[in-house]
Amino acid sequence: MRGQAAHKEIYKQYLFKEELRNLLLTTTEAKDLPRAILSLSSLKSFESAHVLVHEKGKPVGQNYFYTQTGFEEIKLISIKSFNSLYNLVKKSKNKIFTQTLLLNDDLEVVGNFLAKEIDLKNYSVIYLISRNSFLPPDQDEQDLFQSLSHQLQPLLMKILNNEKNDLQKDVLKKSLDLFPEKIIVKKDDQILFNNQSQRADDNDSHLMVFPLEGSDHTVMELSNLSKDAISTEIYHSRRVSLLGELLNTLQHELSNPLFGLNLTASLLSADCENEEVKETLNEICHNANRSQTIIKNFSNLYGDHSESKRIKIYKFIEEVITLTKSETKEIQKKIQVVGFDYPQEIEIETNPTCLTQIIFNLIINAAQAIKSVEFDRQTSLISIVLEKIDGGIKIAVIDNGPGVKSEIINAIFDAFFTTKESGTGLGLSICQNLANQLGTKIHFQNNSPFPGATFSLNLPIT
Amino acid sequence: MKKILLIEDEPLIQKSLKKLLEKRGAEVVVESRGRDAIELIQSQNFDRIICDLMLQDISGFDVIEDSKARYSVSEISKLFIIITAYSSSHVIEKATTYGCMLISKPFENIDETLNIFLSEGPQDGPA
Repeated sequence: MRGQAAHKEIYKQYLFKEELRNLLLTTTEAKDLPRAILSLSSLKSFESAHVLVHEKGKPVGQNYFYTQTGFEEIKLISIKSFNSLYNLVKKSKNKIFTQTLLLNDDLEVVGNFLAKEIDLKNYSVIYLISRNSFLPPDQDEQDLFQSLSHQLQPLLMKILNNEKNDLQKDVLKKSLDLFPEKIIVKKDDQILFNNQSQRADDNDSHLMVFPLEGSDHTVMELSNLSKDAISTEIYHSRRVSLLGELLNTLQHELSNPLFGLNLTASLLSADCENEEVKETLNEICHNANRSQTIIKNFSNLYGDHSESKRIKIYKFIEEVITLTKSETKEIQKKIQVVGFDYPQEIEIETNPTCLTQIIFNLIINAAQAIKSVEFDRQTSLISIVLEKIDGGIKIAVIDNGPGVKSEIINAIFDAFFTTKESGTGLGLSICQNLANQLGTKIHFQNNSPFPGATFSLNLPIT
Repeated sequence: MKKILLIEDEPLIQKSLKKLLEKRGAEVVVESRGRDAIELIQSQNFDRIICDLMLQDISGFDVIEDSKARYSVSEISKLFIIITAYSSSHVIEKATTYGCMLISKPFENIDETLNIFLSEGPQDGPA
C-alpha cells in the first residue's frame, strides 16, 4: 500500500510539473496569469486569483484578477495598498491569511487566502489565491503554492520585460507618427514605414536619405529640414507643454503636504510656550510657504499663453529672479526703478506666463554672457530696470558682461543663431516671438562705452 | 454645537483642521477614505461636510454623488464644501454643477476659511 501511495505522490508531482511547464509555455501576458494559476488542477478548489504587479518607481501598480466563474478584471492598485500588502506577505512564514487582515477593500478576497511575494529587479509582484472556507489550505496546497514562485519568477521576468518593450515600441512608433516632418523608411525601395501615408503624396524628391546602420538596403528618408522649415514655435510649444505638465503635477503633489506642514507648524507655534521651539516652528512655516510659492512660480513659467492678468510688476520681477537663482549665483542682481514713486504698486495688465519666460530667458542669457569670460564676482551685475515712459513702462535687463560683437548684432534674434557651444539658438528668437504675442518687441543695444548689453521691452500701463 | 465631517487624506491637514475647528467649538469627525466617508454620511447627521477631492480610493465628487441617496441637490450645495489643491477650470466647472463652495488649498486666510466652514449649514433655512 505504501508503495502505491508513494507512486501516486510521484505521479501527482509529475502532473503538476507538466502543468507548470505548460503554463510557462502558454502564458504570454501578465493579465492571463491569474487564470493560468487557477487552472492548475491542484489549486482548482480556490475561487479567485490575483496577480499584483508594481514596477518599481511607478506611482501605481496593476491588479490582475480572475475568478473561477470566469470574471476577469484589471484594475490599478495604489502604491500604499500594494506596499502594505507586500510587507504583510513578506513577513509571514506560512503565507496563510484571512480576509480580515486586509486593511482595505481594494482586493476582492473571500475567506482565507494564500499569498506570496516575488521580488524582481524592476518589479515587485504578489500573487494570491483565495477560497471562501473556514478551513485553512492544507499542507499540500501550501507547498504547491509556495513552489509555484520558482516557476513564476522567470515567467514574470520574461512577460513583464516584453510588455515593457512593447510599450517602448508603441511610444517610439507614436513619436515617429507625430513627427511634424516626413519620415519614410525603405528597404529595397519598398516602403516599410511612412509617417504621413494618409497625406497626398507630394514631392518626395527633396527628401534626405540616410542608410540605416547594420541593415542592408534599408534607408530612412527625411524631409530636408532647412532652417526655416521647423518653426521655433513648434520646438518651443512642445518643450513648454511637456515641462508645463510635469510642473503642474509636481505643484499639485507638493501643494497638499506643504500646506499640511504649514498649517501644523503654525498651529503648534500658536500653542507653544518655549520661545526657541516657537521660532523653529515659525521657520518651518515660513519655509513651507516659500517652497509653495517657488513651485507655483515655476509652473507659471510654463502656464497658459492666452490669459491676461493684472500683476504687480516689482514683485513679479523679484519672483522671476528667484527662479534664475541657480544660473545666476555669484552674480549680483538688482531691481532699479526710474520715474515711479511707489514701485511696489506699479500694476500692468499682461500675460504673466509670456512675460515670465521673456524676463527669465533674458536674465539667464545675461548670466551666461557674464560667465562666458573671466568674471569678477565683486562687480558682475545684472540690473533689471523699470522705467516710466509715456503711457507705459520700459523693462530692461542690463548686464556688464562682454556685450555683443558688432558683426553679429543683426543676427542675434534669428532662429538657430548661437555663439554658445551647447545652445540651440532659439532663446532670443523665442523671446521675440513671445514679445510679439504681448504686442511689443525686444530691443537690443550694447552699453558702449561701458561693458555689457541691454535688452528691453516696453509695455503699456492701463 | 456644529457637527462637522472632515474628509481629507493628508494627515497633517486633517489633524490641524480638526484641532482648529474644535478650538472653535465644533465637533469634528475625520475620515481619510471616500468609501468610509460615504458610510458615515448615510448613517450620521452632519451640519457640514468638508471634502477633499483627491482621496486615496475615490474622488470627492464620487462622495458627493453618493450622498444624493440621502440629500437633495440643494441640500448638498449647502452641506458640502470642497477643498482642493487641484483647482483647474475643469474641477471648478464640476464643483459649480453641484453648487458647492470650492476653496483652494493652501487657504489664503485660515481664519476666514474656518469662518466659512462654521457658517450656516443646511438646517438653518430653506434653499
